[in-house]
Amino acid sequence: MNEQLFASRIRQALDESADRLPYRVTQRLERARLAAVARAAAATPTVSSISGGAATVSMPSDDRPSGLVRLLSTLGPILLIIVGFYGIAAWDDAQRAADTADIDAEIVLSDDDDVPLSALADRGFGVYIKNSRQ
Amino acid sequence: MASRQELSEFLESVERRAFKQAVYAIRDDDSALDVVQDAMFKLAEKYEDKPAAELPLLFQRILQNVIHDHFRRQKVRNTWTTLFSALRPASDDDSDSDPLESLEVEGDTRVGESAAQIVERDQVLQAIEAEVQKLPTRQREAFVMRYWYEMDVAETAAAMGCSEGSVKTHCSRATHTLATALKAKGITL
Repeated sequence: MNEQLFASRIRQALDESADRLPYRVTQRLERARLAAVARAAAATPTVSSISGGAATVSMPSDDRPSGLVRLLSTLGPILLIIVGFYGIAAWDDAQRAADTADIDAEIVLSDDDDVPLSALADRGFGVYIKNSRQ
Repeated sequence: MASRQELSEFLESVERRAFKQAVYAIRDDDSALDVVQDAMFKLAEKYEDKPAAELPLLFQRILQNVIHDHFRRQKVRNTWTTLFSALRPASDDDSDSDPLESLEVEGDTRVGESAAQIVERDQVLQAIEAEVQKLPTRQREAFVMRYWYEMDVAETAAAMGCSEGSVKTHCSRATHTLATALKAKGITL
């Protein structure tokens, strides 16, 4: 038996099977069809372009956004958070460096040698220097 | 541009095959009905202005897209279901369901056939459908469109988004797989 003949026998069997669908299914299909036709009647006609060339079949595309847009919408917020954390860390480092620089400058410029070294190492000393400048 | 009458006639001519095609892919009657309905709505709403000759190809493409969408949604739903299934109580029996609701009424009366013949034919049809269902997705799509919908190779290739050569290969493999499987079951066509 060749391929075409075999396929036609299979088609007959599938047609027979489709004709034996339960009543519940055929009713539901009929209701869906009537609803679809009613929707077609309600839908507004869309503008179609007129071309003089050969007729072409335009295939329906997915209504979903493209893969790149979906990827960006997923990764965008995550990237934003990572950049935010990085920014906060960089700003904090800069603040620490500035505080340390202030303390170093105070040590170098200070004429008073009575200040113990442990006081210079204390974090509160930086705050004291800032306040005393203001 | 297809008239409402043409659209209705077209949908009536393909609805049963579309349902079966969806069942082969999804393996659930209710979901298949939803998919076919969704495809009908999309065709009617968006492509009503197309010529009637283009409707079969458009409908096939829409149906394929809707089936793929169904699988994507099911994948997401399964992820959440698996996540929360541990929180559900173990006693999940169907004690409230009414058996009469699931009882199918045989719509057709096949006069002139003996019970044995009807049962035998039903078994053969079920076996054929089961083998069609078992085919790899692309082979099944190609076979169904090419031989059941009687679309030509170019139309099938356009609907599947592949080359004509691929369609021929898929069809040939599907036919050989079906022939081998049915022969192994002792079914002659």
